[in-house]
Amino acid sequence: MMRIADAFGQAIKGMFRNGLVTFVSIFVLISCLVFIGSFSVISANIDYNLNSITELNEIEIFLDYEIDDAAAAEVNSAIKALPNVSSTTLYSKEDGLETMKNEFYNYAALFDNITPEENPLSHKIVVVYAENAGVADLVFALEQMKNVRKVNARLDIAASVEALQNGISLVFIWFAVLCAVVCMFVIINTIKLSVYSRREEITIMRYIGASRAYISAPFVLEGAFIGIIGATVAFFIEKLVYSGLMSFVGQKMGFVKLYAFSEISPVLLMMFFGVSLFCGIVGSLVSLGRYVEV
Amino acid sequence: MIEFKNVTKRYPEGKVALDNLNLKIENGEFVFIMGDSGAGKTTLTKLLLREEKVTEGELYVDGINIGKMPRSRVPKYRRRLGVVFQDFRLFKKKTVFENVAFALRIVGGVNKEDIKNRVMSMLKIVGLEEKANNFPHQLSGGEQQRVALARAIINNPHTIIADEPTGNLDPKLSMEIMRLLIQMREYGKTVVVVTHEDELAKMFHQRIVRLKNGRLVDDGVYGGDGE
Repeated sequence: MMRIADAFGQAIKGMFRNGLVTFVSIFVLISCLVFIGSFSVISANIDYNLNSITELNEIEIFLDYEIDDAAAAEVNSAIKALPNVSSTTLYSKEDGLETMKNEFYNYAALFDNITPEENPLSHKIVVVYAENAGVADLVFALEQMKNVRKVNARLDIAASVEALQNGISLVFIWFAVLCAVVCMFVIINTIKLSVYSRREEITIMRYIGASRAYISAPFVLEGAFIGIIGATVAFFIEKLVYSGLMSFVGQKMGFVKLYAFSEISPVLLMMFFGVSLFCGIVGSLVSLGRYVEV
Repeated sequence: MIEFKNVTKRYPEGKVALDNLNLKIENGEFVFIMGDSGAGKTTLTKLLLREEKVTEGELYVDGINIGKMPRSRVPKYRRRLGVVFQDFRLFKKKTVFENVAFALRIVGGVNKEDIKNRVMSMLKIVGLEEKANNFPHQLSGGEQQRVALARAIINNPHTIIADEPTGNLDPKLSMEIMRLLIQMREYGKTVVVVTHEDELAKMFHQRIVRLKNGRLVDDGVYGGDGE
């Protein structure tokens, strides 16, 4: 018990002994965490909005000219049963003609003399799909169906959205790794200074018979404390930044959807503490190196 | 018992610090290890502390071949030794009491009250009871060395290794420290004192082992009545 209390005491003393370096270390850690945090919440929200865009992706299916309403309804029911189909809407030939009249309202007279029997259009079904990933399979299944004349799918849009999401994820991972490396480097140097300033003490400890764990514990705890302080401060800064972002988006960009902070805060908290504790503890162990070899 | 059996220590750069050394030190014996600079005295100390490993031969301490001791067991082994250095190696920011208590804390399993009692009785033996709350910089060289000695023996080690313990002291203080070290033998400790001070060693009528270029060149009892 006394050993643990002693290690805690030494760790806190160590932080104050290298006050300025510890401060710089915590400051860099906070900056990196806020960057990682901001980038990840932006990335998550972009993903969130891109998923909304993909919801608008639809497939248009044109049926054979000669089929009647009952046959078209049958095709519609068959499509509904396919996997990855979220919803379907069936448009009759008459609906199609009406839409054309509205689109070309300056030439409405051209459509006036077309009788239902002379209607040149076909039935149309609009399919909304659930997942981007399975669109190609769905298109293939639709093309194979009886009474289907033509399938218009915006696969390019779906592919672009997916590529964008993957790209954002990749950039985010690189950015996060880079920030973590910077944090680790700074913490390693802080602890190295701490170890260097106590090298005589460490030598004495080794001769008296202190174990590697006994000597290392205060430095590892010092690294962990730097991590905990950094993560806590960074979390509250991130909360402020996100509130500002939400208020800005709410006022100026009403069409953009954002997660509520309470939805992302558990992940953010885990990420901050995970990254900072990892950097703090691993950084300390790396810095100790040969100094604690017994 | 300490036994060097055909011990050779060669450093990576090729320098042979100890050359086929054979030396036996019985339990409770007091031995001066002497020699000029480069004779191998420091290497001998490092081997005993297991700071360095023998290159060839075997080094036994109480029947254990410490050259083959796994690294994880070295701290425990060192706790059975008491070490005193020329430059005292005290914790500058700890008081006399804390410096001595530190050796007990490392071992663990000793409560606060016991630590207090044992440290104070040890300080009484070395005559520093009154200076328990002083910091090292407030003490004379001799007093600092006595603190180091108290720290070295508080865990009741079987062997005390003193590396040039009087190197930074004037003759009067040197005598004082030597008498304290010899007194340790009376407590049943094996004492190994590494020194280059020929005159001082000869004053105590103890066994003197002389090294030259890493080889044992003389081993015998010399000298007067320093005790």
